[in-house]
Amino acid sequence: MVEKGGIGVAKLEPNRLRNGGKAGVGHRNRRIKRKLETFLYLLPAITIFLVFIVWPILYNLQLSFFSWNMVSTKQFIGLDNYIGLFTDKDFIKALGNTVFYVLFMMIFCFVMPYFFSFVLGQLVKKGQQFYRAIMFFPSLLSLAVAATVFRWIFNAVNGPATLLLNMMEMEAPKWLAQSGWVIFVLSLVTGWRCFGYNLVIFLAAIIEIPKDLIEAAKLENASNWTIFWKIVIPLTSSTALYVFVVSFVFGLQYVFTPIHMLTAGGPNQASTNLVYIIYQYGFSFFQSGRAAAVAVVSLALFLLVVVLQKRLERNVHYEN
Amino acid sequence: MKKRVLSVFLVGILAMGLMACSGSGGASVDTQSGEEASGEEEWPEVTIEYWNQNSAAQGEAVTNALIEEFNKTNGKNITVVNKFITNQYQGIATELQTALMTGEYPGVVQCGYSYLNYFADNFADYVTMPDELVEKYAPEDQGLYQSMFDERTLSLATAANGTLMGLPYAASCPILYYNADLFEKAELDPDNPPKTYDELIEQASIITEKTGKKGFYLQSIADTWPNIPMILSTGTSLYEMKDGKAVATFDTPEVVAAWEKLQKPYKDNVTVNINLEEGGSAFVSGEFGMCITTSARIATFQENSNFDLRATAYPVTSEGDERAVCVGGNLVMVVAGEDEAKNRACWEFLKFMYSDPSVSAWVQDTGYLPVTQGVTERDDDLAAHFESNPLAAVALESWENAAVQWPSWPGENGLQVEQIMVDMRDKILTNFEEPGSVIEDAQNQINDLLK
Repeated sequence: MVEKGGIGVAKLEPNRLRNGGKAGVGHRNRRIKRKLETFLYLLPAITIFLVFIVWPILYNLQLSFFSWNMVSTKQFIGLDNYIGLFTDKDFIKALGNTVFYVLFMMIFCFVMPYFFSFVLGQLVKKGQQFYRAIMFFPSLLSLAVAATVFRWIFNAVNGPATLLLNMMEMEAPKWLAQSGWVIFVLSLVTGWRCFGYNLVIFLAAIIEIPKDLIEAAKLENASNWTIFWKIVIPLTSSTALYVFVVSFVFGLQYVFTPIHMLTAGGPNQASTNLVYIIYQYGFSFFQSGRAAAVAVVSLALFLLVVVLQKRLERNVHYEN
Repeated sequence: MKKRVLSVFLVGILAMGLMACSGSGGASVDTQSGEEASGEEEWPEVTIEYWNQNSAAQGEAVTNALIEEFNKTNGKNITVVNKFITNQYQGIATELQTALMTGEYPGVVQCGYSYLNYFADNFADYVTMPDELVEKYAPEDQGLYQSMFDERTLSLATAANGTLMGLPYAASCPILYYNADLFEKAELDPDNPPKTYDELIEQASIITEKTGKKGFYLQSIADTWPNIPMILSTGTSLYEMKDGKAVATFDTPEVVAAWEKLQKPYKDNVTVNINLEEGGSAFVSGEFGMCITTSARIATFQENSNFDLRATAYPVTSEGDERAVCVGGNLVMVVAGEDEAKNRACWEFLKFMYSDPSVSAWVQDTGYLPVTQGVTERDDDLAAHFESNPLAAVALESWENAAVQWPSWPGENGLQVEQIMVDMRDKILTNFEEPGSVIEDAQNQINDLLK
């Protein structure tokens, strides 16, 4: 053993060199074996990834250049599906609706849970468990149940929301039968369902903030808003980034169930979004090529979200 | 080390093997080849599936009972498995496509009338048409199905290209339900309900004015089934076949005038274009004076309303127009490939389902209408059902005197065409756009798709 800097360093045994320089070969063989072992351990995960993620994406991309109703023979039509999409008023409307869905979901699933978790974690002294439980409860229900409940609440003739407005001598909108309002109501259904889960995630992050920081800020007469803005947000930014991305996905995907159950994309495509229109093309009209093209466009938009996430991550604080 | 590498490798292979394992796509169907059955009354064991959308709310109980009865009594080693498909006829179409891609032939499949032409254009090669079914697999029953149905009824299952795809099974008509109590409150005569759209709108306006309730509700879902009769009774057809292709022809001054007439009460807040679940529940809660929807809701409405519920025929568009109501519901098709035993089993099952006791049970339980000729005369239970239920009698009268085929759009884009019609309706009744330009636009869009 050779000592170097107080640390014992294993010295290459001289008799290994007696193999005529084959020590390097043995080392290489061991490296290959280690790599092979690593690869074999990863093989199941790689296989699943290839079969269930990569292959469907590639197949979908290929399908987007064909016209196919899943029964007859596929016909290659080049870019016709994409050209048809960007000249289709319904697709443009779906794109626009998607933006509104995302905005509403940001409010219901990101901004509001963030704010309420701060209130619950820092300001409410009694009954925290109770409030946490009732706010989390809707997350236990399925979106189908939530949609059914909200259909009753927002019945344009005799639902509680309508009757309440009528009692205040205000004309109630037609909710699910009115352009604009329909996106709000459908977003509300999904937001109501997802709010509690995100609240709990934010709460966990806020509770982890060192109490002495908050107390020090209070001693300096910082307002609750200042504490929230200057201390809570920076120190919970990593959690906020996660919830931000998830809320974006909710706006695209989770609203599918309420749309499908309550409006089927109507009235006059006023409530359709990218994901629903994929379903409509694929399983209502059986135009799987067109549906695949919409899916490719949606994938491109998701990639933009990933880029956005990477940029936002620069300002995120990670513990340690 | 070698053992470790080997064990890891084997685990990997095992994991891949588990992932690669897949069961059969749908329910497996056991059948033996029918080769020993030809020429003799020998019935090999065979299992077929009956794909349907008879939910718990409509038809599941009676379907289960009928299938159980058939399985017990057929004496021909035939077992029928009830398979409820979610998402209605669209779901059946999707599942069928998947099954056929994997080479599976279920047996008997329901097909909504609105999907008739889509099935004719895409599944004809996989369907055993009634004529072929009888000729090849049950020649002793030649002429039987023709005696069961009249020509008008058989036309419901006949595609635009003239192919009889199956046999009509479920049939419903749109009828006008009304709240006689609200009629009296509005000083209208409940024994004199509206017969035309003009009367409907006038009486609805009076109900709204005098009671504060909405005047009427017209069914609004993801199809235009209850709106088509308004078009048809003006003498206009939705489309015509020219050189084997459909051409939309519904943009006429009469149709534009009809939609303008219908739009007015929506603009005046006498009614509102909401979906059927909202509208139906509001009607039984007494919030609408009248409701135009399917006769298949008779039982539901009777059970849930607490007012004097009555019904009358779907109104014609204008005085003097000919009454025409589109039949909703489904036909049943045989999708059994070339398997002789399965095809024969399907035919035996269909004969059972169309027998008088089966039709009687089906009609009484679901509120659908009797499709087989003369069954109301032969079956006392069924006759009593229609005699004792005035709402059912209204539906029966509509079926017997005014029912026509619900035109389904042919061509590969036929299903998308229906969406354009739905959007047209919503633009007129929700967005209050000018009917003339909306209808013209819709027709042009549809004709582009049908080219």
